[in-house]
Amino acid sequence: MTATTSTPAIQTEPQTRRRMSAAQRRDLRDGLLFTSPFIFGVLALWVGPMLYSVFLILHKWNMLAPPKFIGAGHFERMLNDPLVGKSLVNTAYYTFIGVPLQLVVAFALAVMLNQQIRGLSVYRTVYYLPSITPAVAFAVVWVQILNPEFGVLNEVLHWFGLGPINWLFEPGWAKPALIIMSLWLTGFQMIIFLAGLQGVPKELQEAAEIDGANAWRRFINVTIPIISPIIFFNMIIGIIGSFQVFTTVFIMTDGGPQNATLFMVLYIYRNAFELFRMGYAASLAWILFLIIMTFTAIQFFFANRWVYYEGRL
Amino acid sequence: MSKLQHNAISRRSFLKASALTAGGALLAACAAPAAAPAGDSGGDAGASMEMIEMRLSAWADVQDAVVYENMVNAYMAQNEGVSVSVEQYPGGYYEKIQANFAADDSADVLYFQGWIWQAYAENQVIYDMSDYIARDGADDFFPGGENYDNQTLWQGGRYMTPTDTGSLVIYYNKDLFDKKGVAHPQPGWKWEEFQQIIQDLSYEEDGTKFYGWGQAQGWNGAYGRSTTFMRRNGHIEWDRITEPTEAYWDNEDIASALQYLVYDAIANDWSPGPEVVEGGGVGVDTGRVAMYLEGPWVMPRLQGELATTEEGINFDVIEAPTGTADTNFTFGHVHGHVITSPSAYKDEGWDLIKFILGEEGQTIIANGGRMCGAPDNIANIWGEIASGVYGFENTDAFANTMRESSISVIFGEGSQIQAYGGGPITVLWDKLLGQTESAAEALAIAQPEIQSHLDQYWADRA
Repeated sequence: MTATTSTPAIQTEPQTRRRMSAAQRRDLRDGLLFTSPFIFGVLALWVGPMLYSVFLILHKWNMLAPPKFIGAGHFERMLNDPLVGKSLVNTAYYTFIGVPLQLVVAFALAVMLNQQIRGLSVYRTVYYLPSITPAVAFAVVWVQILNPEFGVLNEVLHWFGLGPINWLFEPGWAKPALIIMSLWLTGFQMIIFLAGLQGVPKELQEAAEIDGANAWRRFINVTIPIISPIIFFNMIIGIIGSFQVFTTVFIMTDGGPQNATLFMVLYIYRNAFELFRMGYAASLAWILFLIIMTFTAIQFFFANRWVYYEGRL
Repeated sequence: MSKLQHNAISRRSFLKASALTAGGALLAACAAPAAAPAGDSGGDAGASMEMIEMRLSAWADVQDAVVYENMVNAYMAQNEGVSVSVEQYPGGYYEKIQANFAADDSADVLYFQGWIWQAYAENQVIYDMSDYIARDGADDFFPGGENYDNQTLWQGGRYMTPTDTGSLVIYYNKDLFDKKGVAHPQPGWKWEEFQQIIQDLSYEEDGTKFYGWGQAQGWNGAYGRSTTFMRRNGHIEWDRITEPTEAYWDNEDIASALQYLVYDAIANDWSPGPEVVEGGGVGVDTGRVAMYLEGPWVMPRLQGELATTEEGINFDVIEAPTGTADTNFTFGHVHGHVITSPSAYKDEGWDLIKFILGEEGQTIIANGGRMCGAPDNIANIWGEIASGVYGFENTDAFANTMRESSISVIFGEGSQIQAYGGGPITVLWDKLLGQTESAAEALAIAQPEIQSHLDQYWADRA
């Protein structure tokens, strides 16, 4: 007999999957039941139309006759359509100038509202209210604010000897006007920043102060890193939202003057419902989706270099 | 004892039941429309013993709901066995029509503007009524003339009826004319006289500006309202009105008209600019503008219960001025009804349409504030009613304008350009309204862009 050393047999899980207990099955069933309205809504109103729009990319459809297969025809059209480039440039302008400004304004408001002052809850409500105003009402009000003749904005500029500016009627000023208007809607981002600021540990601030850091250094080296995930989140949401701007532009300028505010979603809408080009509109929508996804992925890629997550080594 | 007896249903059970109910209701709601069409589309002549239920779309203004409710009530009183329901699509009339066609759930008879329905005819979702017209000898319902034909015919088929119209005439404030001692315009007046009157009636008084002309913002600041002036000397900006192949925009007559009426008028305060109009309070209806080109739908704002000012405006109307061509090229709107191809009740739909076009139907339309379809009905039915309600005298202007009228342009499916502009034409107008370029400069740029658009339109068709 050969003496052998053998390693103890490794205990493995049984080959057959353990059957769910009655309680687990009940839990699963209840969970699916509770979420069924939401799941049904997502499938019927979101996933389903998205899948159909993939089908439409390869088809010409005017909503009146059955879809007709045209292969890559829409992409050929896109390459020769000057308004595609125009709308993308307009959208990029609005997004990459507007979003940083929105972040700065929202953060500044959050810092101001993170003080212990009288009437704080009133101030917080007042600054948050515009972001829950219906978009149509908001647009109508801002049409008046931006009116070159009677608008409040030009009146304020006049106090400082500036203007008047033909805000929504001059191509060079129409996009800046919409960006200024978007700063009024930073209430949601402000609330998120406020929550982040209130989560900054006081001990870290005190420790930095003991080490001789002044208020600015504490802000830059303690507060900003701690809330960098919040900044990152607001930046992602802001860019995604800005790429999809539609309602205010549709009401206020309808893409004018001279296509200066022809943003991508507005151009998609026009192709779909005014020009009977539902397939082309679907193709444009997917291109926009890919662009947004790409920018989001780029942001995530670079996030590691500046976003600090507590607990991560 | 059971849970029910104890009335001790648990929170978990209650929530489960709620989720089940909500999910079931959602499924039922989505299932119902799928079931409904089987009843609608399955109808045929054999079901004539049953009540025929037709659907008629009406334009989304409040007055149209009243007009067509009265219309269908009168029709049904004379046609037992037919029930007609009126439906309006506010907040996107044509988008909802498209969606209804996509869902195979279109109404039987639809209301259209005369320059919008052509794409639907191309796709054969609306019905060519030529056979009905020939069968019933209904040619008299169609006044003839290029404008009426342009807006009711497509590639030889008659798809839309002239149910109501809207001739654009010059509305003028008689008090402002009298105040400045300017003679009221007379039929046959010319472009040069019109220009002088504009300047004579533009002034400032006690810090308030009064304008001789209103051509800015909204429909007034658009291509469709300018054709009468652009074409005054006979030059048309297209080789043909319906589906043009050549654009002739870079022309002196067009440049001079647009330069004066849009660019110069705003620069010299002869017309309020779009930003002034947008601010409100400046228009013929507020007594600050002496003249503008508008349709009959504006009259409720000038006189009557709905007038903008309490005392109303003392106004009259006149055909637009002419140039050397001596013809009125004003855009005469024709609106009407089409029968949808999927409708199972085309015969009944045609019958309803004939009623609408008949004397009783046209009287209901006139009493409801819309202008009759044919010039003779405008003169004989609508004119007296409207002048009695709104207090103007020159009722002939509307009928005469419709007799001579034209339309800006008509395209089929897929054109950015339509009767009121779009595409490079809107860009051209933006430049003039914003005064970033002169008319000649802007037209020189617009001409190749408009031609390129035409070339693309025909390339898409090929």
